[in-house]
Amino acid sequence: MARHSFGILIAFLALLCAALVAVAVSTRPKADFTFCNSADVESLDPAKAADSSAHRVLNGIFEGLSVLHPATLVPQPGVADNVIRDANGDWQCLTDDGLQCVFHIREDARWSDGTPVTAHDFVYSFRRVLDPQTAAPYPHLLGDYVVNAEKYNSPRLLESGDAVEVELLLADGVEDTDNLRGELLGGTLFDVAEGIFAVEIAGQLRHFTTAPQTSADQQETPVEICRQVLLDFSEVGIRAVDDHNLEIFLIRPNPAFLQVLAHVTLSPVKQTYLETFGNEWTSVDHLVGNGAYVVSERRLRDRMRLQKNPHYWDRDDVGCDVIDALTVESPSTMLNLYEAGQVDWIPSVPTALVGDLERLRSEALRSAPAFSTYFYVFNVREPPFNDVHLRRALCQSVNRREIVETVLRGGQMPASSFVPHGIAGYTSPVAVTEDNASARAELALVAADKLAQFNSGNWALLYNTGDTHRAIAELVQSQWNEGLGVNIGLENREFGAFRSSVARGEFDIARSGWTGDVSDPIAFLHMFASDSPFNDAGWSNAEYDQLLAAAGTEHDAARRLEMLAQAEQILLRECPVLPLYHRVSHHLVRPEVEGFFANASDIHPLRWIRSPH
Amino acid sequence: MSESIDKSAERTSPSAAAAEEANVAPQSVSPARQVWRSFHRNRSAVWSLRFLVVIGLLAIFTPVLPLQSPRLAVTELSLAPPQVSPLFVDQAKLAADAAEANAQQSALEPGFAADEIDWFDGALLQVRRKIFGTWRLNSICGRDLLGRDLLSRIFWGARISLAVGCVAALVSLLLGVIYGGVSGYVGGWVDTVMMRVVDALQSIPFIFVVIFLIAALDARDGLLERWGLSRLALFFVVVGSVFWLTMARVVRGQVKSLRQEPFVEAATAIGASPARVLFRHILPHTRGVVLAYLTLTVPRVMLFEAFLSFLGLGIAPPDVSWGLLMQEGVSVLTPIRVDWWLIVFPGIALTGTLFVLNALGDGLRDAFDPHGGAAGK
Amino acid sequence: MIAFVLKRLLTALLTLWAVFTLSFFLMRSVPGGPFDRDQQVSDEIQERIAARYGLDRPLAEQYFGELSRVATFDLGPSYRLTDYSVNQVIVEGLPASVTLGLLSLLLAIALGVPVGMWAGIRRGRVDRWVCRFAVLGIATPSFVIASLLILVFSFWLPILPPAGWGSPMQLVLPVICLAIPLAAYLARLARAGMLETWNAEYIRTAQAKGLPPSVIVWKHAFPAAMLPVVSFLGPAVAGILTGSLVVERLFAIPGLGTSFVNAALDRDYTLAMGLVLLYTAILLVANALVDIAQKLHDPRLEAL
Repeated sequence: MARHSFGILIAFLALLCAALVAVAVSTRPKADFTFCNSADVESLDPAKAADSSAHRVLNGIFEGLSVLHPATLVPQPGVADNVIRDANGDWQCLTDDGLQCVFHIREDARWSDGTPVTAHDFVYSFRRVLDPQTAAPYPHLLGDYVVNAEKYNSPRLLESGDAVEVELLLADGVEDTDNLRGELLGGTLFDVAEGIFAVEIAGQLRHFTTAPQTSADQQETPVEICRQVLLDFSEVGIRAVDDHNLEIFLIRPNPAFLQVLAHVTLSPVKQTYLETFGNEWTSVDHLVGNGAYVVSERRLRDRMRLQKNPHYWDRDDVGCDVIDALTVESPSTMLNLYEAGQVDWIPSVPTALVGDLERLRSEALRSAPAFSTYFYVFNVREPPFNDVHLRRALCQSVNRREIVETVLRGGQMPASSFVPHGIAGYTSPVAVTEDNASARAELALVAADKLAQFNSGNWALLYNTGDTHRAIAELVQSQWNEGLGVNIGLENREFGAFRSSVARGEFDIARSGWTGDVSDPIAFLHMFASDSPFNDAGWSNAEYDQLLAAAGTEHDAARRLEMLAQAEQILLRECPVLPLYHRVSHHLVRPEVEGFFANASDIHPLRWIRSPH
Repeated sequence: MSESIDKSAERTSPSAAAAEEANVAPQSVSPARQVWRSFHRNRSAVWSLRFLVVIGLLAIFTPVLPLQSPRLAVTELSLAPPQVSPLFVDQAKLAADAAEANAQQSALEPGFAADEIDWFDGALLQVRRKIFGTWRLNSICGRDLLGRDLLSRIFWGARISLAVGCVAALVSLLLGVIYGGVSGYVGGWVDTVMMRVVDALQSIPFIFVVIFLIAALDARDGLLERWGLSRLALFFVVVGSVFWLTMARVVRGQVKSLRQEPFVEAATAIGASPARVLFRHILPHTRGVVLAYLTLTVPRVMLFEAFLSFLGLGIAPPDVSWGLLMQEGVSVLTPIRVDWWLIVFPGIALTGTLFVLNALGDGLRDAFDPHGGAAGK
Repeated sequence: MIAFVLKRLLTALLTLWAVFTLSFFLMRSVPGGPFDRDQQVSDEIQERIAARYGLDRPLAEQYFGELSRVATFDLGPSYRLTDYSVNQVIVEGLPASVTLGLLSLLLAIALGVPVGMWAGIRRGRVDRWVCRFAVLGIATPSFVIASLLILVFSFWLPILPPAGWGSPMQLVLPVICLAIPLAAYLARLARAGMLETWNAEYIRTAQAKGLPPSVIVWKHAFPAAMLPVVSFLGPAVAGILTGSLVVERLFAIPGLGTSFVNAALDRDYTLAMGLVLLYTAILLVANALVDIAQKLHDPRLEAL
């Protein structure tokens, strides 16, 4: 009996396996181009995508007003066909004063369902990025450039007298998604107090609040509950003139805006699909884009298959018919797949192997210095690290070349400044010196009480879990030990705990890194402005803030960069940060693949990639 | 995969637990000599015991051995393969840069802070200086990415790995014996409830529990700071507190059957308090089986530590453990280059030790429980 | 029988609830939230995202809200994989994990059980070597086995693909990796079962009757010797199905194992909760099945 039941069990399991294998094994044809995506795409919604793996596929599925040429990073015409320079070198889409852009949407721009892409689609999509309900991670891409965009995004900036729009709650029974809007009432803001907006609508003063828990009966006047109160969108400098012309008003002239427009966040999305399918709109069945490819298959932890979009305006010039993006998290697995000939591109390589790959795979290894800095940040809120001499001493006793050559070994550049090199017209002041003797001299200048505190306390360098972070921290620790004779402990936290400690200012020295989204020094320098949300050091310097503010309103490009260089000089002199190196991106790409360029922004638009398969 | 299996093996279904109780016959509490003889007949267990004693002694007395500092990074020699000649090198020359060393760093061992070395290690290091001066064994097991001597890292890693295994096993012993003892002795609905709690805890995948516990206690404002615990101590406690469930089950089974014994009834009859009966009369009789399970818990904890290291959640540097070394070794096992020494030597150390621990545990169990004799139950 | 099933069901529900409550508070007590990212995002935006998922509400409200939702088998949206609901993640990942798990379970049974029985019958040197290999199989971390297998079979003798999913060849290495420690365990159990059974009265009787050895082994000894193996299968099935974190990661297999670790590390509360509950449910079902099988098999064992 038992023998039977055991046998039956085995037979049943075997059958089940056979069935599952049959299901698991697919007969899909091989793709023209296959690459490893380092993680699962978290969201295919361009407004919400924040991870690099999403950006790698989204630039193939959507297309913004401009696109960047992967070799030069110069803006090229995207959906707008007038993003080109005329004979004088001026941008056709910008007016003479540089404050107004008029984009012409190309006539043959189509969604992947065949309908035309219009200027209204862009207005809808840009508004959606700015809408706080969307909770988009990068609204500042518009907020930093476009008139009133920041105010629309942050209701706390509203002032009395502003024209506002009151968004009422969604009708009962409608599922609450951020893709739907409630009814809008236009009015003028009278005043705001304790979360209650007094708005004058059609000559009548009405009170609104977004917080349902405020007990309405305590107020003398009735308070209505609404979804949100925002600046009237007509005040924001984004306007569709007609189906094919889009007008955008800038806060100040800045040609870098054309680069920003190529960012995935600012891709158009199709309103009717979002409103019909709600949160399901990014599923493979409903996703509609305007890029060179469409998603035809998607499985978590496995792959995303992209197929050429038959309605794409430049369809004859798209390099592949089918692209597979495999989800592979482990760098060594990626390398294994490349070496076994199963993939054509891997976007990173194990750092310890870069030297060997340079020798053995020189024809396939593509590297480019990235617009990115790896640094340590001091907590200057509390002693002893509020002492500039101590920070300077620690900063000067680090041997960056040793870090780059022994731990990283990937051609990374030792950081002599905070802002990476390679920005046209900008030269970072060289202020980081490496010299143990002067470091010890600085240490001697530290105030006696702080030095005593420093010597008696337990101070730690905090970093998050990760091989290179650990190796670098260990080496820096030993360099400090050898050069200055100081002992700084190491503390390793897993990422979530690490971020929350740093954000709350509960650390002594912490590891950090920053990648600029546009190639402009301000992308880095703004990080340490007093009011910046990313200023982990808690550092504040009036002169620095002043220089950044002045640069913000400066029209002359050369003078502006000069001011920024002065600001960086202050940053490097005061040392709230300890720059270590500038990252270099490494890719392994089959030599026969065309249209792949390693570049500083580490963007690799799929539409340019041509595979001989 | 190892940890899922460990977990599953730990869980005995109610019926199996019943069987477990059944085979704890009273005669399993045999005189010590009989146990020893039975154990002695098991050759591999005896060899394992000797081997373990040697490993343990080497780990304890690591500082006296002429090994390079496990934290001395000779970056020019990064990933250097094993070197046997010359057999001895002068560490002072290797650490030319570090020579301008300073007051705070321990003069005895580069890379260690003075207050990191306790009196015991300090004394051993002094002895070493007397005997060997600055002469150290060459890197006969090769060097790692930062150019640190692998042999010495294996030895220093042994201290941590064995400590993790032993301390976590002891934590599990403490929790398991008390919990299981009380549950089995009191019996009735208390027993039912207590065992249901164990069931529920065992139904949670414990890798999840460990990740969250480590993160929760890791935060700076958390308990850690207040109690002055190091992350290492935390690690011991967390891992130990996950492994106590099996111990609780085993002890409960034993106690339940022992409770029926005449000597327990006698003790109760002369008016001994329940606590006294449990701790003085019953629990001592479970020591054989408990010892065997304890020996088997140690290798499982060590394997688990290796697994956590693979996920990047293990021991924090500059401390080093075998799991960490294995993980570093695996990360350079690529088709481009194979730095075999980084995986082979730590692998031999870890797998060898786990092997002898398992063999010893099996031997002990067979010796204490000749009739049950079943491996793996 | 009905009373048994009902009792079992009630216990299972209570266990699930306890696991839910424990996991819920464990997750919320940990610093960091699901919206921390490598690319830094300002606090204001983080608050907005948190508000969208109701994470700004009081803890009790969140608890009861989530409990009532989970009770209707809706595990909610994944906080990190925003295009997916937890149910979808499980539906996409479970088949791969199940395929991998069952195949390696079968391989392990086919390998471990006969070898263990052989060792239990033959004793002596065979037995010692089997035991040693079994211990070795248990004592080697699976990531080491996996890396070595890849190196040997994908690069030195390039006959098998190093990773990926979709063709039968890609299944070979991960299945072997998962099966090795499992087979080692099963061999030990089968050996122990056999050792015990082989001395039993009825086997000696059978031998005395002069029955052929194969009949004695398979008809008489095998069923009894399988008892410890069967009781081990329950928990083993649950463990192996929800993924073998390391193997799935190294071989880039689209199962649930990777989701499991990532969900915990990323504080993807809903996904982690969903996977924990799934694991618990599978474990409970597998154990119940094993108990029922044993009860049917051997009425002397009083289950429960």
